[in-house]
Amino acid sequence: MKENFDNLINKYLDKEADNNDLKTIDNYLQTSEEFRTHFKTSKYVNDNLQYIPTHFAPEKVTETILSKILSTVQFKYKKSYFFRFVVAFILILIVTALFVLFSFMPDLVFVQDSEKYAQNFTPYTKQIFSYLASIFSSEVFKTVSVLAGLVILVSFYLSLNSFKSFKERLKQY
Amino acid sequence: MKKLTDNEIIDSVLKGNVNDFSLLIDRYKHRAYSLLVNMLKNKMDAEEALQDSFIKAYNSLKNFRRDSQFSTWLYKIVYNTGLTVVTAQKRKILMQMNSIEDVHYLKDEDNEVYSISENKKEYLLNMVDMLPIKNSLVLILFYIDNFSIKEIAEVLDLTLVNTKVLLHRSRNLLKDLLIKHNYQEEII
Repeated sequence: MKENFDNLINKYLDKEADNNDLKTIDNYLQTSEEFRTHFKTSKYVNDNLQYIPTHFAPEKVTETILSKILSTVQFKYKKSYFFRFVVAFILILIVTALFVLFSFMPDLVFVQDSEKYAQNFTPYTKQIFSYLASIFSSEVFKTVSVLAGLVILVSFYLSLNSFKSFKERLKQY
Repeated sequence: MKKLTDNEIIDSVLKGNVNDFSLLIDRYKHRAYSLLVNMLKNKMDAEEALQDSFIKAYNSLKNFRRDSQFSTWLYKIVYNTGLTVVTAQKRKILMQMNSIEDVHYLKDEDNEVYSISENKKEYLLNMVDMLPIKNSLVLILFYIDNFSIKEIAEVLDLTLVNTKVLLHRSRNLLKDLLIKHNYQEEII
């Protein structure tokens, strides 16, 4: 019986009781002491639960959380800058090596004698080899290489300047 | 001044204005903390879990799909963080009570709350804190946060039917506890 009472009362509290349920509730309220007790106590519970007290979060918890978030964000930037630095450094090494190699290429014996060596290759290879050799030893290629090297060096210098923590790390050494 | 919506704040944070996340923290910290205090029954653990919850929320913000309210999504993170703490501490806790027959699990707490409460309302509200995790959370989310059954089901990872049953059982439980202590005489 109590279970039936509870179901009926919960329907009423959830505003899901239809006309039949409302009539039954009305009838029980007039005839059953037990139902009246459960109904009124349930209604009291329902009306007062909106006053459940809130526990207030400690002061400065917002600042604490935000500082933790900001420190992780900065850490991410540090990692990505360090990665960029390593990539930039390797690129500079490669470009510098190529620049040095191509600057002195016309003086190198194998380039000067490239025509002679190329005769030993098949006609297709000979053409390609001669073409590459003429490109590498051309003034245009040297100029482009120098400009590209300069751009990368300037980029490296600027990223180094903007990366404060990296500078701090350098100071430690 | 126009109050920014949760979604407007989220957009700003995702654009790189990290400091705007403090608006969301300020908006939900007290309610999230209340949930955690209810779950963990310890304010220090609750504060730590609160910080973890917001950091997790920030890190997953780009994955928030906006097909539900931000508060529902955040409380789900808060609830799961609380559960992780409970599991990590290997605490033996009762997750859910079904009826007054299970009240022996709460015997000490019930006696303590009854002895310190000055009236029926105080007893009722203090007992909410003493209820098992799911019973107290369903009541807080329904009555304080005005969450729908669907939203509560999402937070607690339950079906709609189970959530509704849980709400009814929790309410019945409190009603039966009041009757057990003869408070109904003052009510009727």
